[in-house]
Amino acid sequence: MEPRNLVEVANRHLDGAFPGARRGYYDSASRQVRWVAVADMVREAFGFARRLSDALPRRESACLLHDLEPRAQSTAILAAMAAGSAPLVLPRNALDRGTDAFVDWVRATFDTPPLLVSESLRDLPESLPVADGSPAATSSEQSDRAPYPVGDLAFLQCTSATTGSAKVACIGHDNVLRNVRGIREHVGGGDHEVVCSWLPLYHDMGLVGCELFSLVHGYEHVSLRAYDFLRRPSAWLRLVGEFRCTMSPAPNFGYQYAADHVRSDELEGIDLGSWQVAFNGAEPVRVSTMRAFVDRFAPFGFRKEAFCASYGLAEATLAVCLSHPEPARYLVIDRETVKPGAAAGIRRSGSVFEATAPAVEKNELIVTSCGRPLSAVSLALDAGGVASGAAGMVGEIVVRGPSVFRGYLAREDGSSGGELHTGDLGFLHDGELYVVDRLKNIVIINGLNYPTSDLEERVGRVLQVPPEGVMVFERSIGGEASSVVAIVEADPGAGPIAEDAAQALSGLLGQIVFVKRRSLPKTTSGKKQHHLARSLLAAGQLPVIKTTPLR
Amino acid sequence: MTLEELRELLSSTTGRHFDPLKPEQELTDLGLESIDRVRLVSRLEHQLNRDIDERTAMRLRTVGDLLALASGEVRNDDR
Repeated sequence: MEPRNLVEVANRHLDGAFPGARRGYYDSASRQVRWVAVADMVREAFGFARRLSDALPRRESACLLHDLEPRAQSTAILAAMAAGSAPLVLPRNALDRGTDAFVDWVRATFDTPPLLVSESLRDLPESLPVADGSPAATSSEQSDRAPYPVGDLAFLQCTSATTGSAKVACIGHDNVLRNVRGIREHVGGGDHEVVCSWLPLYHDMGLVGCELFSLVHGYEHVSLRAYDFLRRPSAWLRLVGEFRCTMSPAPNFGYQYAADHVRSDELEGIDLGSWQVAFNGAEPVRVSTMRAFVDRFAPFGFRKEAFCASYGLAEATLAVCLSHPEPARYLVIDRETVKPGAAAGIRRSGSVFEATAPAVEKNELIVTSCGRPLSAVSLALDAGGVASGAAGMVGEIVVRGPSVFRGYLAREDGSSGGELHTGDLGFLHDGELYVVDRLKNIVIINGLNYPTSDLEERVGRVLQVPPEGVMVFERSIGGEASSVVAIVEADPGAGPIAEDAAQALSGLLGQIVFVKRRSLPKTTSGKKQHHLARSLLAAGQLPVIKTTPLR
Repeated sequence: MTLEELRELLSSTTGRHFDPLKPEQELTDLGLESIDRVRLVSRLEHQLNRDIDERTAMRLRTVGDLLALASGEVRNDDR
């Protein structure tokens, strides 16, 4: 019988269903991989689950995992599930705004007080208990049995990289199992695959696409820290080559970063010929990036057919559409037709890897196909309240299927009812999904989601203006380049514009546009209209005082 | 490493100018997001011929912290 939850999957590892299944962690100091048998890790997790369970404030409390070593983090995720709880891996910077802000966020987000599992934190208020998550603590006991009945939820996930106004998505065990089985079926995964990842586990692609995908299918899995990838991107490629990895995902940014920053002298002896599926998603998939990666690494065995453009989101557990095994394709469309209800004006189409890079005119948009939906997923495009599957019509992407999440934690818009309005705009062509714009107020930077409200607050703080007078958005979601811009209301009569201070925003924004007061479009109830602001800016219809480029 | 040498390293890593640069300045105020910081650490490692671990890198808050790291006053994961 198929396992019904991830603890049953773990039990199958103990029963010997996946002989030799192992998990490797790259140690940058020794440049060696440290391996552990998955069955041993499961025993440690079941042992650690007893400790967690004793420390949980209440039976239904979640476990927030903070600042754990990679192996301890894998153990703690499974341990939380085996304790009848649900783990939430916190973003790396969860406490950057200080302990008080973090505690406020926890109190506002969780009805039931959670347990914090951390290696470094000890001194939180009494209402927030902390359990030791050090490698010694997580591996000190072993057990062959999960100590408590499994809960409905497999895990919780922040839908953005900052906790400031992060929503927390609730993902059920069945959601995970259906999604990772769907991914395997779609890409033709066999009984023996080797997965390589540098993605952090607070990212859905890292947690579901690598950690849990490998656990459920009994695949060998080797990982390195995102930190190690960023300072030496060749380490990723070297691991893929050395361990004959067959599947490795990254956001588009990761492929571009490797193409830009791997030094030629680091590539000697690397063979990427084993790489069968190079998942590319979490942000717009760019033709130029895939071409650059192939140009750079085809001489080292990388096969362009391995690229698998994808569309997914945390609220759908992970994957919705995958292009593999079809060859990567693109369409060039008329920008004017990127609006709900319009028929996408397709001008040209082609293969991403054709001999000459596709040319795109100013009024055109190039979009990569994200492929077809997983077999259990159905898609509709919603243009003004009418959901339609009509080919070529632009609309909000609506996902239905067994991996649509339960809902957001502690919010009135909580229950999804199995239907997910994604806030992304797209259309279907020849059965394949093309994503052209974003309706929701999210900006994606290097594969990580940021609510615009968090960025607007930050811009306001740096420039010392009220955040109500700031709007942040991306100039273009599809296409080959994305630039994050902030529109800031300023009063020319009130003194010089704070251009020096703006430098502090150069890591996030490409440009700040200062406009006259009360010129940002808002609804009658004062809600910011980001889309309209973007259209007005593009059409030159905002009263611009000054434009400050930051990069 | 002097402040001037650090300024050059920052500029060559990010392609931006940092003038003035003072030890008390916060790295976030210079627009150094996490990826810039890691790239900077990577260049520092190369120059100093030593490995800098993640926790040490993530604890860097100010220009002065960077200078202390570059001059060997801070070791890996000193708590």
